[in-house]
Amino acid sequence: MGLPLSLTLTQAGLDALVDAQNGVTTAITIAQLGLSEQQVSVAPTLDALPGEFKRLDSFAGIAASETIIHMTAQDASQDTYDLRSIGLFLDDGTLFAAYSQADPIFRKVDIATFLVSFDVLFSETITGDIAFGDASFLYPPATEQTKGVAEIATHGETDAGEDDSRIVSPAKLAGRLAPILQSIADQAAALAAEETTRADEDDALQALIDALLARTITGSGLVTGGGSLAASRVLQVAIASAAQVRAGTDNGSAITPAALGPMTKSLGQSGYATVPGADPANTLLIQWGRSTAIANGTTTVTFPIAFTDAYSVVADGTSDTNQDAQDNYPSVRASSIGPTSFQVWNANQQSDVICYVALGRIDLS
Amino acid sequence: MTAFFAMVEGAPAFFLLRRQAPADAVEIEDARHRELLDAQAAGKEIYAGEDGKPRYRQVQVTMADRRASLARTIRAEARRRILLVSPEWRQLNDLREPSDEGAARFAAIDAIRAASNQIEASLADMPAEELETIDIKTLAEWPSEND
Repeated sequence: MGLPLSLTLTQAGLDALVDAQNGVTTAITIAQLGLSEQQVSVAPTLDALPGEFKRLDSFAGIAASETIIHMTAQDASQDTYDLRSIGLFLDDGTLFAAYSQADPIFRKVDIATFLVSFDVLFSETITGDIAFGDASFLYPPATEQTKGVAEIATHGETDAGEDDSRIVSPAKLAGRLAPILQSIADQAAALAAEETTRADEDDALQALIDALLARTITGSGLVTGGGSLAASRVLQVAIASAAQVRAGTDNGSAITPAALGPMTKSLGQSGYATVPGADPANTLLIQWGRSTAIANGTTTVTFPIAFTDAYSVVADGTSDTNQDAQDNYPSVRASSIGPTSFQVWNANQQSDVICYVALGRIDLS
Repeated sequence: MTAFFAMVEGAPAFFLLRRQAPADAVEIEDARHRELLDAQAAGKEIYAGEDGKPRYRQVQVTMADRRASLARTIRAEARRRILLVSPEWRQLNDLREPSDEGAARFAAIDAIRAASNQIEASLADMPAEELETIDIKTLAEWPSEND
């Protein structure tokens, strides 16, 4: 503004300054600027700023000469007010000096930033006895929101890419971007080459697909269905029912284990085997084995497994090597044939080992 | 493949399926089943142990059955020896036309019958161990077949 503002030192402020000059205390620190919209009667006895509605911490100063200090404060808020009185406060809250006038010193609106500077002339050297709070405010660091001073980053800092307080110059930026741009160009060239290669491969693959689409799969024999590969196809095999298996006349279906029936066997000197006939409840069972028929007596022979119905047994064999033997060798007693066993009668004078085969039915349903 | 064992009316029986077997049947592994069948082939007797599981043992023959069997064997051996001395047709001829040779053959036959009766009679007092091991055909009581 350039208007002279006659600040009045308060008694408390003067005492603090004298103590600093006499070495009683260290240098006093002017830390804040108080604002008031009221006109105040300023006197040395003043220890507070009447009507104070705000204090600015954004306050800085510098010694312009040994007897002049230059102080600056700013309010970048969106507050609106008519400023009539100001007060300089020390860091311990003491009112150091004040000024007031009837007309607004400054009328702030919400879109404006209030910036005020003071050049205070002292009659003797005092600059070493006064310090300021936000000393960097005079030359604020540049930020994304505030214009200010910034340092130009070095090549190393630019390449590191980690410093957010220094500014990159066009030359540094160009140096940093050059290898990146070259890499992008190289990759773009490689992609272009790959695109060409893939296009060729796509053509070859399409040719193969076209060839496959021209093929057909069609069932034959027991397999039906099928067609070209232009669509999904299902091949079917007709399954013969148990009745069809038993009838034995159908020539267009396949026999499955479920239709044929279970196959069970135990192979050995004595054993058994079933012959599936698509009728599990009436499965043919063949059994065989050996037994020893006692001399001159009846021997019961147990089948390897029980029949549901035993139909017939044939047994034969002897251990007799006597050429003069005249007795009958073991023979089956037909009436004794049952589901679990049969009997042989042996009239020989010695025991005889017999072999037998038995036929019957077993229910495997 | 497993099987199921149970005694049915006092006789051993094997079953392929559980539902075919009596309620007290016990399951046996295939190897045990085959072992039991092999034992039967060798003349062993299959029976149920106290736990119901199958066992096998030598066929139990009573001394009375053994003596009856030996008696049948003695008579069969006597018949064989008699026919060896003189077939039935020759015995008829010796009866129609008696001769010294015929009388000698009847005497040999009588000796065989006497030996048969003696041997059979001896069975009554024969110890059990001897009944088990006696070989009827080679007994010294038989007249020599070369006489």
